[in-house]
Amino acid sequence: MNKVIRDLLSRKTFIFSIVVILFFAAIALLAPVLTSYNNPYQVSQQFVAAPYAVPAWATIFPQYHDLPPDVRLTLTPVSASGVTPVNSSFVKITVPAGGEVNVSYPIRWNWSSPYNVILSFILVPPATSDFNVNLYMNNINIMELSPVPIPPAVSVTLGKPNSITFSSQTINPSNSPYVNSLPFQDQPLASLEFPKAVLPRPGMYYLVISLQNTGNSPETFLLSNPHYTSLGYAYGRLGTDDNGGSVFSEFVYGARFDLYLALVASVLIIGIGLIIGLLAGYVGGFTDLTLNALTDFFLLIPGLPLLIVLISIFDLTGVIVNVNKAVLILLIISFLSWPGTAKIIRGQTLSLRSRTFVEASRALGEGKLRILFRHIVPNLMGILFAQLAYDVPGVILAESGLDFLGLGIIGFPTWGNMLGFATNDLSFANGFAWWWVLPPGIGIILLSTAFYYFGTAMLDVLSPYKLRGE
Amino acid sequence: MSEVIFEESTDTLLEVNSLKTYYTTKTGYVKAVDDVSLFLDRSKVLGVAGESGCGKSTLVTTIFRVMPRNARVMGGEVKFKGQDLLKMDLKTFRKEIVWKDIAYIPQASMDVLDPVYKVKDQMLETILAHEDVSRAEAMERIFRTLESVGVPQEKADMFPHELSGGQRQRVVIAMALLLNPSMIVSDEATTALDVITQAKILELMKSLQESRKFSMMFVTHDLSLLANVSDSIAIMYAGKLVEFGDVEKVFSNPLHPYTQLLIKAIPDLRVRKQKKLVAIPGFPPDLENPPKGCRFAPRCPLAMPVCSEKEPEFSKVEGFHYVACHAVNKK
Amino acid sequence: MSLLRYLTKRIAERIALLFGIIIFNFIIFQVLPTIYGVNPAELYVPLTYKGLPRSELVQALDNQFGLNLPLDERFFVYMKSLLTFHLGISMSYQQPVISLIEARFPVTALLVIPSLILSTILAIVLGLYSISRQGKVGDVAVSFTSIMTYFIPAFWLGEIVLYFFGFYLRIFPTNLAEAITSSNGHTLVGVAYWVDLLKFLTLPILFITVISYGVRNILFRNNGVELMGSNFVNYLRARGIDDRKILYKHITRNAVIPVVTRVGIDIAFLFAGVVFIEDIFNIPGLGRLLVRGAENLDVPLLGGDFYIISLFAVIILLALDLIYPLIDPRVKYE
Ligand SMILES: Nc1ncnc2c1ncn2[C@@H]1O[C@H](COP(=O)(O)OP(=O)(O)OP(=O)(O)O)[C@@H](O)[C@H]1O
Ligand code: SF4
Ligand SMILES: [Mg+2]
Repeated sequence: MNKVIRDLLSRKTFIFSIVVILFFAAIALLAPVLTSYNNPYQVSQQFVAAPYAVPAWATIFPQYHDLPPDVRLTLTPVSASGVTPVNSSFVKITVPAGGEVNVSYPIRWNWSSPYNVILSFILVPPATSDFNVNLYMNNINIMELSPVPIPPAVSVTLGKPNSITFSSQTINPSNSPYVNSLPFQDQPLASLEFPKAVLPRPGMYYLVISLQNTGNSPETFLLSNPHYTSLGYAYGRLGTDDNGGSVFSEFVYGARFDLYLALVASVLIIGIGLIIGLLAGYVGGFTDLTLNALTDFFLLIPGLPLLIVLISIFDLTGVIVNVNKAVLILLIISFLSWPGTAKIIRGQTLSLRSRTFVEASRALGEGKLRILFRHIVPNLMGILFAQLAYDVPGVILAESGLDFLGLGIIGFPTWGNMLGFATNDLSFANGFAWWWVLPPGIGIILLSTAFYYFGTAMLDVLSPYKLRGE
Repeated sequence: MSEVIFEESTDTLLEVNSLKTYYTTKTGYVKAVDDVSLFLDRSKVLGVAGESGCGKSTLVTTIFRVMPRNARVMGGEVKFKGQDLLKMDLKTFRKEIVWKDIAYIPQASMDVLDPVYKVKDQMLETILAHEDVSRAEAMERIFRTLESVGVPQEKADMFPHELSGGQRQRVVIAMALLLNPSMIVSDEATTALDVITQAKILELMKSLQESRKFSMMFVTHDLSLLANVSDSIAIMYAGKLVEFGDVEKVFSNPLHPYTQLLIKAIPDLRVRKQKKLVAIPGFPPDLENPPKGCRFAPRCPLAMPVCSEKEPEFSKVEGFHYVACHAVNKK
Repeated sequence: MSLLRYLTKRIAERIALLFGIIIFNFIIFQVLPTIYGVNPAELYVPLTYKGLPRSELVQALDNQFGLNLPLDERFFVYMKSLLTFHLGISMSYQQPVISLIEARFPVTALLVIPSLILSTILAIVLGLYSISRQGKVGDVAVSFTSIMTYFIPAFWLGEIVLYFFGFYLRIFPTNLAEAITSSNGHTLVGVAYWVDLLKFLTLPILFITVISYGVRNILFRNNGVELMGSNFVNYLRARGIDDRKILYKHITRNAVIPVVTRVGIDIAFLFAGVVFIEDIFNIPGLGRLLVRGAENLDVPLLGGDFYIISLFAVIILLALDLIYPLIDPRVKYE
């Protein structure tokens, strides 16, 4: 045994395959720990950053270097007369009659414009209706709050805490003076233009909340420190897809599904192949003839078209409604993939059957079943292992192909789905979202190659009657 | 030191001098041929015998310069007609020496000939690789040679797999005769055949050798075959030459304990009541880490303390009879 | 004599295979729906056609094709229709399936045959390089690349290639309609049509070449390396035959045998293999037809296309069987 392991470890290809397989197995197993989004195809898990955000580490490249990350800030005002802190998060502002106090919140912005801007704070206006509140950012009037809401002003309740939220994604001519100030034809694009207007480039910017007292006695306002949030163009380990979903989460959960499916399917394939191959090889005679013909038949009908046809027919006849699609795909792929394994097992069984030690056991009167399980099956282990490894890439590729064509799994990320969506989205307009397009493909290639080399190493090392390779 | 043996040579054709051929493996060197010296005179037959794995084939492939990729010649020379074959330009060697002067008869296993070309095409290719003759002339020679080894002409039109084992062996012998070489090396040429065919092929080779007067190096692991065929005998054990001498002398007076055991192990066909077959106990050593001193020591019934200390020298006993053994040298 | 036996045996086997495929089609397209309580006729008619409601269409089909006959009788009707190429009318194209297939056959052939030749040549040339440099860096790199290309998801790399060469660098036309239309808007005819079609197909052809040479390369290389250490090669070398001659004549001739088998199987599964490529590059061939059939759940089209693809595979496999004895003289005696 020790020698087997030493032999394995002396192969570079085996080391490569082990490293790759362990890596993917680890991310598949640890998926819930690695990411908090388990299905970025759900609307609730989208827009964790801007669509097509590059990976955070990609900002080391010059063309991405000033892309903003997701930003979340609590702004604190610069001290000014009439502004007195109440506690750590509220300030009290007293505005003299007919006067105006500006509360300025500095924002240190180190990047190019973000995807959106969201501001939220709590305002407790005075109980009288003689006031007006305006929000400015980069000297642009972005919002107006007033007890008498004439659009674009937004209403506030007097004397009570008001939760105010400004979101650049929901601005329109009736809720933002900024949109109103744009030429008419530009107004529909206001949401997109807004971040560029208020945070055009790195620098120091101010959010100014201007409180106006139009009455004739001093008024008091309470204002919480505003929260600033914006989605950025640089996100996480692998950026985002077209819906702002985390590509890393998709990749990790895709790996989880693909590996799981591939292993289960491979075990099924091996199971069917083993039974048919053993029966054909060991029983022989008419059984062998029939099973061999059946194997050849399945080996010779074109697999992919059949797969497509079967899935469609099941779809049509309504079978799919009753069965989980993943299970169905698993069954069909297994059902179409066993012949190769069966053929190899049959060949090996045939050759084992005529070996001296098996003949000897037979001469000694050992039972058929006993011979089968004592002498033949154990000697097939190496091949079974190798075949298992060889089957995995086939399953992954077949499943991905179906997903890619839109005939497979829908609703949660698989590598095939990622490939499909990412490549469908390749166009001149969107550019080449390499962080989204490349990982699933590279994942499939690496994992397949690794399993292939793993199988080859197993076959070399474990097959019992290996010739001395010189 | 072993140069002494060359004094026995009267009309040297081939002289192998202190040849070392090692195989490199992941863990070291397999010393398959280690300091072997022997010679072959014109028109004589040299038998080389030894257990499986003792390095006979390695010796042969070194002479023909067709060793496996991981083999290295670590020293020594192979002189043929005075020229060192190992130092020759490989191209010249292949074109001018091989087959014209020295030919090779391998064991004609199933795959010794290219399975997809007809027998005659492979023979033709061999002639044309060395000689500038017309096709017709070459074909003529092929048919003649095939006839001389007892293969009907029409077999030339067949594919190798369509021949029987014996026919295939004859074809391979004919192949060696195509260019009338002065020396033929046969490596286990009769091993895979049944006893009767084996005897016929052996007879054929002997008669060919006698009529055509080529020298022959006859390599086998079956010592019994050599008694009637060869003029001198070289016994190899674990990469070393252990006994070398006139066939009469070696058979009538085997001196090395290994040779003695080998001869004892030959079943005597004349005695009806088969003598008990004597197998040599133990296994040949690992050639990567051969035992110190005499390599036969672990299995030798006569082993002495000195045997596992010092390597025995190859020395003359009397006449053309040399042996490397402390027990013999002491006397 | 034994050659004759070999050939009869093979022909019989292939006919049995064809028969098996027909049965298989029958099970999928007729038995399966029946089991699930769906009248197969319903799968063959669109919701409405020329104003006639579906139920009438179904009845008409039933009368014409005996779809309401018991399964055993229906089988013969079905077999006859397949053997006489009466494959029905496509619901999504509203054309006879057989004429759709006829129109697409040459396109797929034009796509596949050049790439088949190119990739085989590439496989052998790289294989010869690997064999002559066995175990060295060049060999390892070539083999590793071949194995990788084998596992590249065709649809994925295809899209990327299309994006870069078609959209980004604009080296190749990406739209068939544009490619075969002259600047003044008329569809090209004659030589110009084929030239432009081929220009459009260049990218997919090269692409198929790259993703399909791997298997053949590995087959050829491994076989060649094994042969390099074989007895007959050793004996050839011992006979003083030139190394180059051994490589180019003997090794190549022997190592090419499994490659020929493989190429044969590849041709047989030709149309199956190009499903993705046709889908990606928007090539109106048989593979794409199948995907369209699947997308629209167009049963006559699916069934017909699948049958023709299988039939083609059987024919090519038979042809391969017939020429095989010429390639490997040992086969007659197996
Ligand atoms: N390519 C190789 N690499 C490493 N070791 C080798 C190689 N070829 C042969 N050997 C070893 O070298 C030794 C000599 O082998 P060789 O083939 O010369 O023996 P032999 O005497 O011809 O045996 P046989 O009678 O079985 O033909 C053996 O121990 C063998 O295991
Ligand atoms: S040297 Fe010693 S061990 Fe070797 S053969 Fe002679 S007696 Fe035996
Ligand atoms: Mg040998």
